[in-house]
Amino acid sequence: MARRLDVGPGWAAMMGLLFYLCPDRVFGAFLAAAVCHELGHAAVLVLLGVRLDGLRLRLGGAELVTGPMDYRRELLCALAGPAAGLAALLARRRFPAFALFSLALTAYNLLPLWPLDGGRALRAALLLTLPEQTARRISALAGIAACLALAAGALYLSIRLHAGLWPVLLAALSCLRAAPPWKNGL
Amino acid sequence: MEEQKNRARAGADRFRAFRLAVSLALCAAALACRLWYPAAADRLRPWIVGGGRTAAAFRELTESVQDGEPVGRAIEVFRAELTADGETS
Repeated sequence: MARRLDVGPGWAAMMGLLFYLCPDRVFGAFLAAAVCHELGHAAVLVLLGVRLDGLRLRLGGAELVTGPMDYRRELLCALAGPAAGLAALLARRRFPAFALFSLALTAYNLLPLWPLDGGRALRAALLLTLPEQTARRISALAGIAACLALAAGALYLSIRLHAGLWPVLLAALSCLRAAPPWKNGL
Repeated sequence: MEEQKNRARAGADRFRAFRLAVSLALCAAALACRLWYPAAADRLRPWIVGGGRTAAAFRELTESVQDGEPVGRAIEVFRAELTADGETS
């Protein structure tokens, strides 16, 4: 199968808005952090011999399209992106904005919320150790808890730290994307 | 059967190309706005990504990280600065 790049208008609109509003240095650092995160995933996929079919860019973020994987591989691949983000902290003296965005992206992605990396990793880890029904139920409950935490964090950032509306928009988008697995799990 | 599959694949390819064209148009619009209408960004910025204080605090945060301050402490100072700003304004 040919490798494909699938770009959604939602992603383009989000990146366009960020490009319009943020200074070059900030936008560049954010973009570099996102690329570093995805490269982490891609590197582990290649190392584990998983087929990489393409890249999907959507309003909620980037997603690598892969061939079928077992749960152990899925767990490792899901954790590879956040690991790359943490490794980026090594460059904090030379590229501080890049390191800070990588840290923020890692923290966000580690939320146990489907389809973020934390949600994928948690589900894969649970499915490795527990019966499927129990694993899906725990994963869905963790998703609900993560949504509540995300909503609280977003309100704190927007109201208390005057970070604008983006945390609320991001939290709303993440919760909406996560909604179908809740229904399946519960 | 094979012909039907090919037709479906071609349709999907056309749809993907259409969405790519819309995406490119959006990116071009963002670039054009930035080049020829930067004033609106100044009005929108405080609503979407926070005002000048947030930008200044972020600049200080990156500088302190660059100077070798531990990231945790730098973030704590960043948070305290923004909270203090909120209390005084």
